[in-house]
This record gives sequence, structure tokens and C-alpha cells, in this order.
Amino acid sequence: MNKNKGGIMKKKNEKNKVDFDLSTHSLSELIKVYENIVEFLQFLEDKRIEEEQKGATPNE
Amino acid sequence: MSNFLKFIEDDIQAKRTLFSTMPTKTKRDIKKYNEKIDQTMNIYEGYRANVKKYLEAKSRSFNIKCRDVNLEKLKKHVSALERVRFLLNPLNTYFEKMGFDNLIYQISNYADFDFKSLNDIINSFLDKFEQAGIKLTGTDFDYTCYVHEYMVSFLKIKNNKDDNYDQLSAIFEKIYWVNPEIIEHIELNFRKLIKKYERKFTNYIHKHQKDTMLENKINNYEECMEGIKIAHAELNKTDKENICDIINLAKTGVIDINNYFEDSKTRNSNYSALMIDSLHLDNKEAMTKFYENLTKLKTNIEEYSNYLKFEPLFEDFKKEYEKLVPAEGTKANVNNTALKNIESQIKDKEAKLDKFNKRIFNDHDDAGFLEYRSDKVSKHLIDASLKQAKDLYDLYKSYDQEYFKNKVLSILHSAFKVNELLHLYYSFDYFKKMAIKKVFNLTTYADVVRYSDDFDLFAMNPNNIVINSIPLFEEYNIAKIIINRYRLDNINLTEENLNPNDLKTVLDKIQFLLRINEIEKSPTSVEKIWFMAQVEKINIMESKKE
Repeated sequence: MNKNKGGIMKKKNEKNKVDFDLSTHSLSELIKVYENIVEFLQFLEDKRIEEEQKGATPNE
Repeated sequence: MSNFLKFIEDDIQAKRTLFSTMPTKTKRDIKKYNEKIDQTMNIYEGYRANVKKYLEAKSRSFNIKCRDVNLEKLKKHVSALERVRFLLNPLNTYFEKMGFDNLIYQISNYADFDFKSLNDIINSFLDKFEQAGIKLTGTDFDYTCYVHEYMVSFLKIKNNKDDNYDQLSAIFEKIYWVNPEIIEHIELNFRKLIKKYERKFTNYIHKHQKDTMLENKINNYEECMEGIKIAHAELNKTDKENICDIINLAKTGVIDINNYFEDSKTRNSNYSALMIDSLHLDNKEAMTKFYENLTKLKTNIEEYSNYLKFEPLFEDFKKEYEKLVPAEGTKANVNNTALKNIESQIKDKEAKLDKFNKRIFNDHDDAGFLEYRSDKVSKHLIDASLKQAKDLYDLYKSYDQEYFKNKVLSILHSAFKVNELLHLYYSFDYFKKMAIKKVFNLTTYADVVRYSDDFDLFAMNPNNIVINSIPLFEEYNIAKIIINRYRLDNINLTEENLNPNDLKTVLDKIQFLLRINEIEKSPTSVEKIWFMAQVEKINIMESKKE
């Protein structure tokens, strides 16, 4: 597996620099990673608030 | 350094908490909240795309390319040898080898067909004559004046190649109301012509046999049967489920690959269900033998399943011929007298019918068509000729029964085996279909053909072993024979397992274990197949979303 072809994901943070190497995961972990992401994306989608429909109080 | 899964889990948890605590009371709050959502979604969409790319690449790296064997070529070879077998079959004659018995079955059961199909059957008869170099014309169809009228019109349309049978339909209807037996009489006309051209058909078949033998490098029937066994074995070996098929079954969801993991309850219960003394799965030698026996058992159970499907047909035959089985060591008494007697009655009656017809028809016209008289005499003569044809139809049916009975008696013996009966019915399509229709109480031609095709596949299968030693006229517990054979090899089978309704269950269990063996022999693993199936599922779900 060529790790450079999407195999390594890098996340930079101000404090820590973390390498997320997918090649260290077991096959079931890989699927779990994907499922978690998709599930979270769905969560975000559901959580989004329609700005015009929401009866919010006016700005100050 | 934490791994990505851990990071994702922690990050998601943190973000979920964050979103549940963010204020959303004012428009501004909501705007900020949605911006944060969008920002997170963007990041996670990026993760999703990258992880997916990785999963796909990984799954592709597990794929196995199976050897590209030329299955079609092997299938063609088997069917070419089957064709030689059909032509060389020593049990039947030119009549069956030309396929006339099949057409006679169809036209005799015309009630199961529509008008178009009837004309297709007539065309098939004419084609077979043409194959043997016989071009039939209107004058050949003189069984009755109505057969003549219909067939002259039929040939005119056929020869003009206009395929417009509407006009013919009107002629048929007109004839049908005065002579409802018209189709039966067309059948008789063909039977008479087949008999008339017997020598030509026999020569045609001889030539065809020689050509096909030469083409397939076969010298005789026995050699052909040996060739079929070898070709079938090669085809079965190539065609049997391989690791690529198993991967495909898992990817398409036909099998649940989760059941194949070592700790799966299904897997363990299948092993213990089929083993008398549990073997250590690491004992390679014992396991190889176990799988070899399972492969043979699977073939035997499939054969037994076919036997059970056609058991009512065997019982029907037994009922009919049990009383004619000769004593041990003797041959059945084949007496041709009855057959010859019917043959001579047919000859006499057809000569008489011919005389009537000659009086009905004036003479040949210039185009070679017959024209029938229109004077008052002809009505009386036509009625007499139709009565004669009706008697002849009954005589031909008696002839058929006697013909088949003689064929049966020529091979019947006290230890007549099930496989001999299979070969008998395989050799005589007309009688096989008639028996199938009666025994299974079938009402449509399509159903008869379906049963008949299944029967032929069973009869032709060189893997049949069990039925080759089962005497038809004796009571045998085939299930018990199979069970005892495999219990000696530590395979746990009970009579309940071989109940007709449970055969599929036991076959599924065997297939399951054979799949495990196939996976273990291959360069892949259950886990990798599971992964490929998961990735496939992801791809399908994503393409549905798109």
C-alpha cells in the first residue's frame, strides 16, 4: 500500500503536530473510522439550524 | 502519538459537547453556530473523502484475479460430445434422432398451444424434411381434403416468405368448424410421410453420425461416453465455486461473511453438525480428507435430490411394467406380433383412405396441386374419409403404446436399475413428456419442457453414482445407503438430514464448510473478504446518495 496516496492524514494544531497514519489501523478499525465520520456528518447535517425559519429574538 | 480512530472518537465527542452548549437564541448565535457546523462539516468531508480513497485502495489490493479459464470452450466441448451421444444412442432410431418424437408430442398436444405455435410446429416438421433433402409440396399432403386445403395454403405462404398467417387463420377457422380433427390429421399426414421417407432419414442420420464422429474424433458410442465423463469432470473442476466467486458472493450480500469468522456460532455449529467425532481443525491431513468427503457427499446429495424429484415417474413406470419383469437370469418376451398387427391395420386403412381421396380429388392441376370434386358424391366420400382418418388416429396411438412397450421389454430384466430407466426416457422424448405430464399433472407445455429438461440433465449426468446400483423393482432406502457410506468417514448424517424438505439445509451447510476450505486454501482471509464486502457496501450507499 502506498501510504502517500491518501494513506497518511496530517492534522496540524497550534500546540501539537499529529500524524494520523491509516496504515497502522486494523481492517475493522478502518471501517469504524469511516462509519464514525459518516455518522458524525449526518449528526452535523441534522443539527444545522435553518436561519430564516427559526424564530430567534432580534439582534441587539 | 494517538491513532486516527482514537482522535476521531475524541474529536467527535468534544464537538458534540461543543454544539450542545453553543448558544442559539439570537440570529447572530445561530449564524455563528451554523458557521461552526459548516466549518466542521468541511473538515470531516475532507476526512471522509481521504479515508474512502484509502479504503478503496486497500480493498483493491486484496482483490484476487482468478485464472481466466475458457469456460465457454469447455462447455462447448461437453455439448458437442452430448450431441454425438444423442446421435449414436443405440436405443432409439432415426425417428427420435431427427427429433420427430418431440414434434409429434407438440402437435399431439396442440390444445396447449396457440395458432402461431401450431404453424411453428408445422414449419419445424417441414424443416426437418428439408434437412434430409426432402422438399415437400402440396401433393404430399393428401391425408384428407381438408389437410390438403390447409397445407397448400400454408406452403404457398411459406414459399412466398411473407410470414402473413392472417389469411391462413381464416382458412383454418373455416375448416375447423367442419373438421375439428384437422390438426390430428395433419399429424397423421406427417407420420405417413416420415414412414415413407424412412430410408432417406436413416441415410441422413448415418451421414450425420459419421461427420459428427469425425469432427469430434470419436469412433464409437462407448468412446463417446468415456469422453463425456472426462469432459464433464474437467468442466466441473473449472466451474466449481472458487475464491473469486466467494468474494463476489460476499460483496453482493448473497452470503453473510460475518458467519465465516472463526469465532462465529454458525461456523462452529456447522462443523459440529457434520462431524461425528470433532476433528482438530489444525489437523491438515484429517481436514483435507474431511473436505474431500464433503465434496463427494454434496454430489451424492444433489443426485439424491434429483432422484426424489422424479421418484413419482419411477413409481408410475414400476406400476406399469412390474408384471412384465422377467425371472432372474432370463430376458423379457418381446413379441412383435401386436405391433406388426397394428402396422398392417394402419397400412390397410391408409390404402382405403387413399382410395377415397383419389375419388374426392379430380386430378393434379398444372401447378401440382390437387383439386377436389364439387359434385354431390364428394360430401359422402369426405365424411367416409374423415371417419377413416379418425380410426387411423386411434390406431397410431395404439401403435405408439405398443412401440414403447416393445422398447421397454427389449431392455427389461429382473435387476433393471434406476439409471437404465433414466436412459430409456432420455432416449424417447415423446414417452418421457407424456409420462411427465401425466404423473406430475402438468397443464402447460412450458412446465412439461421444464421438467423434461431437468430430467435430461439428471439422466445425462456422468456424476450419478448412487442410482447406478439401485434396482428399480426392489425396495431400497437410498438415504440410508448414503448415510452409512459417509458415517464410515466421520461425517455425521441422519435420515432426518436427508428428508426431502431438509436437503437444502444440509447442502447449504456442506457448501458453507467447503467455502471455508476454499478461503483457507487461498491467499486471502475471511477478514479481508469482510473488508472488501464492507467497502463495496460503502460504495453502493454512496452511489445511491449521488
